Amino acid sequence: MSKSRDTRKKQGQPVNGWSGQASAADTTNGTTQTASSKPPRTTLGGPNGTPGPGPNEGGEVDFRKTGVNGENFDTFGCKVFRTNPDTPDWRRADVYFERKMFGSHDIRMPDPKKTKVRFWGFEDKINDSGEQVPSPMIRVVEDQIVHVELDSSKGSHTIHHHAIEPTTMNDGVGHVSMEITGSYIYQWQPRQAGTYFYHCHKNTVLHFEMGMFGLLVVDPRTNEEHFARTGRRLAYDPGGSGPIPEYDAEQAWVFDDVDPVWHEIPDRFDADAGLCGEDVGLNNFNPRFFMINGEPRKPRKNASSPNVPIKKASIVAWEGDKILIRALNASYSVVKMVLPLEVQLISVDGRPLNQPWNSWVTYKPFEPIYISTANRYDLLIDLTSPANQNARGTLTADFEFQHWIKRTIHNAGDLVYEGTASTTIEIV
Amino acid sequence: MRRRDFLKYSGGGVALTAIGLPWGRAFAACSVMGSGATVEFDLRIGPTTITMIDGERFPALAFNDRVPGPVIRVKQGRTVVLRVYNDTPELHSLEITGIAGKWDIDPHSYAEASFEAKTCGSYIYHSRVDNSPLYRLLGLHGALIIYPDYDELRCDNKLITPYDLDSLGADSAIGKIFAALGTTERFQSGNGCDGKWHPVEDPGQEYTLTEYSNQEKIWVLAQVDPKFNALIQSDGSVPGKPSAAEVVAGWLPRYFTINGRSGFDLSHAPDIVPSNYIGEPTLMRIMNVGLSHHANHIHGNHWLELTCSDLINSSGESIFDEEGHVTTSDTRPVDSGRVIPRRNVFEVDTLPMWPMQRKDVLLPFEIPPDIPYIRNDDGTVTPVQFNDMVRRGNNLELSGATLKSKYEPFPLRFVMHCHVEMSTTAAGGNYPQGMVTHWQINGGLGQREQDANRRRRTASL
Repeated sequence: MSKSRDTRKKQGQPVNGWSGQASAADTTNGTTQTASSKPPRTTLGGPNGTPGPGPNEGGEVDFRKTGVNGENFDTFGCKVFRTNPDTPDWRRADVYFERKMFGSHDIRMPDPKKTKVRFWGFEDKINDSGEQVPSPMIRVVEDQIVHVELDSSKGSHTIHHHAIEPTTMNDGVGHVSMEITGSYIYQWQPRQAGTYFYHCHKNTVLHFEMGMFGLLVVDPRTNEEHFARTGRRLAYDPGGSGPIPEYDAEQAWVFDDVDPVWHEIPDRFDADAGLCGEDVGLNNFNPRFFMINGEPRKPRKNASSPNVPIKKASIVAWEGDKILIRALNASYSVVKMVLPLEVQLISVDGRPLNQPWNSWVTYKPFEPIYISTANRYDLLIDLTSPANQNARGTLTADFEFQHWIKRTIHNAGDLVYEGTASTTIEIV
Repeated sequence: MRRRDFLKYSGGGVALTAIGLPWGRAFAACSVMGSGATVEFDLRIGPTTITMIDGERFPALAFNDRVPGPVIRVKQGRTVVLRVYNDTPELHSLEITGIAGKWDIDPHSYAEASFEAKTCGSYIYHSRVDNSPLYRLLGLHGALIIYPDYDELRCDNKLITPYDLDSLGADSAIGKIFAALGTTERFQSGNGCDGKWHPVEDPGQEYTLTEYSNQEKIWVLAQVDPKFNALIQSDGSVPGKPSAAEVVAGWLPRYFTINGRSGFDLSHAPDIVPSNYIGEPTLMRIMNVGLSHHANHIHGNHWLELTCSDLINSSGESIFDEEGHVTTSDTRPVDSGRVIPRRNVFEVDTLPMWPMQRKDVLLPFEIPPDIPYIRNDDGTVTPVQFNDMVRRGNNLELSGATLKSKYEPFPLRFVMHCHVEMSTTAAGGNYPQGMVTHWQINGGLGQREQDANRRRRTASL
């Protein structure tokens, strides 16, 4: 049984949800948004896959050609198995995605030199996403069987859906399974709503830095029912011991730091740089550009001027709203977040803080919150709380990117290359 | 990459010849000199050589000729005497994170560090002179474990934990987790002791030299920057010692290790790799003795973060309070203090490990939740695919396994790596020969015995 990729047609509309447009106005909530001249709230848009079953029926796998059968010194690192097997334990998908590797997307940075930096990523060919940084979000609903097809025609790559916990073959780590040179369909079924991400797990140190990652959100299975009843969406299913984790406005903060020297490594060497013994300096990371949601920080004019807020990270919410921020540290820095409002941490790494052994954490306004690489913090801002109820207008959230050893702000004091950033939270 | 050498992990200290030792005796991993209320261990500080994954060899300093030093485990309430011999021409000073005391050891002399093992948890012992991390970074570090009196605990006791439940309380977050093991849909139970956590020790001992067990692993995270190792002379001295500030400013590690090894050497090491069946939760005691901030990411299951330690800055202030709120403006740790049992246990896939942080986490060995399942009408889940895998019993590590199949075999192997990915490299490249290892699920609940029988049958053919 082989893949019938050629019969693929662009199918249908986003499933199970609200608008599939990122950052579009939330137009489905008639009760609270009609007759209002207010600007639309920030939203990330709904589940955005294509209804299943997708173009493959699985088949037999020769595990001798994979790391599943064990590895030796060579296949662990330098000569990892490369094969494009069918997916074992095949099931019909409820929703599927395609991600095609791109490798020559240049971004002009906003420094005086207009430094051109090469990025890699995953393109959503089904929905013609174009070459975005970060790569387009994957958003699904609990209990859906999900297929994500990697089209890896340029070199070998993988997709690891970070914190999604499927079988080894579907986990996207080359040396215990395989790297993909053509295509493979990753199969998984998310059991727990929350914030995740996906990234290439080949030569991860480099491919992650080159931009091969995107946000992954799992919505709770009761989301639509709850929305119909209350007009609010859920970060995860209520229950357990915590309050109801509902929100009106939603934004992601995906932090990234960019060392332009590293982004030239594939050109100076190749995509496999360093894998087989060469010293290509991958222990020495010195970022000079700092991005949130793919938008680089702009230089400050002078030492006393504040950062120019990053638009793609800004939030618009209405008085009385609850705001959900999905923070992902996709940088190699320790990121310090200082929010101007009282914030509650309601979920960490895709696991809700509503178990018998945990609970929400409340941070006071301007209290620093540190987030380490690859962690996700779901932060809820309740504008009706006593600490927040008088907040109005446009507030600023500030960020620092701190060195992974020295813990100093990168290039501190340098107006152009300083590891700081800000964005706005506007309450109307 | 060509490997020039393969350093097989010896598991214990390499016995030294008596030559060069002023006391005329060889040191094993640990010499036990007594028992009862006071337990004594011998440690020796001296020069050694470490071998990296690419075959490079560097001078280092070591306790008992190994990096990290031997694991010392003592029962809560005992008086511990560490007799530390300094076989170098420089002053050393023993400290143990979270335990009061600082014991200077003059060159070619010895000192006795005596303290009471009060609070259960994981500690780092190390040598620190002039508040510099240098000796620690050059190899002088090891793990010390204080464990509760397990004497009266049996596997049918619902609250066997690695901590002192009398002071924590059964209603504590940690108490609730260990009570839940083996009793819920998520933390499955089988027969008898299945589903529960089991301590390393045989009841009744005052101490043990056991470094690991099926359900307990110690990971000492470290880094090597060879330009600092190159300062070490053959007698163990470090002439022209850089200051603490110079060490921090110049630290650019090229190797990233767990228990002294990295990459492929970690991938099958029994002290490193949790290799169990569903319902056999594993306690992992993780400590960062280096200067890099790590973010250790585990695939396949989330960790439950049971304890952390009080991180301390250069002014001696706590950086966080017990709830995780920042309490000072200088958040750069140089030391850690008391064990903090978490009242709010996060379930994380990525464990922030700041320098000197010590965290105990539980790897639950639950069925990886996102393998296709069926959601039942009552909201519970039937893990149909995993159950099918158990029923087929196809295990590639047992002979007779099917190598071509429509169905995925056991073991399920998942990686653990630091997500500050510079740490996954060795010598500037060579991904993933850095801080990367595995853990593996060999089968379903209770399948251990079944597989053991298969092994026996195969062996007898």
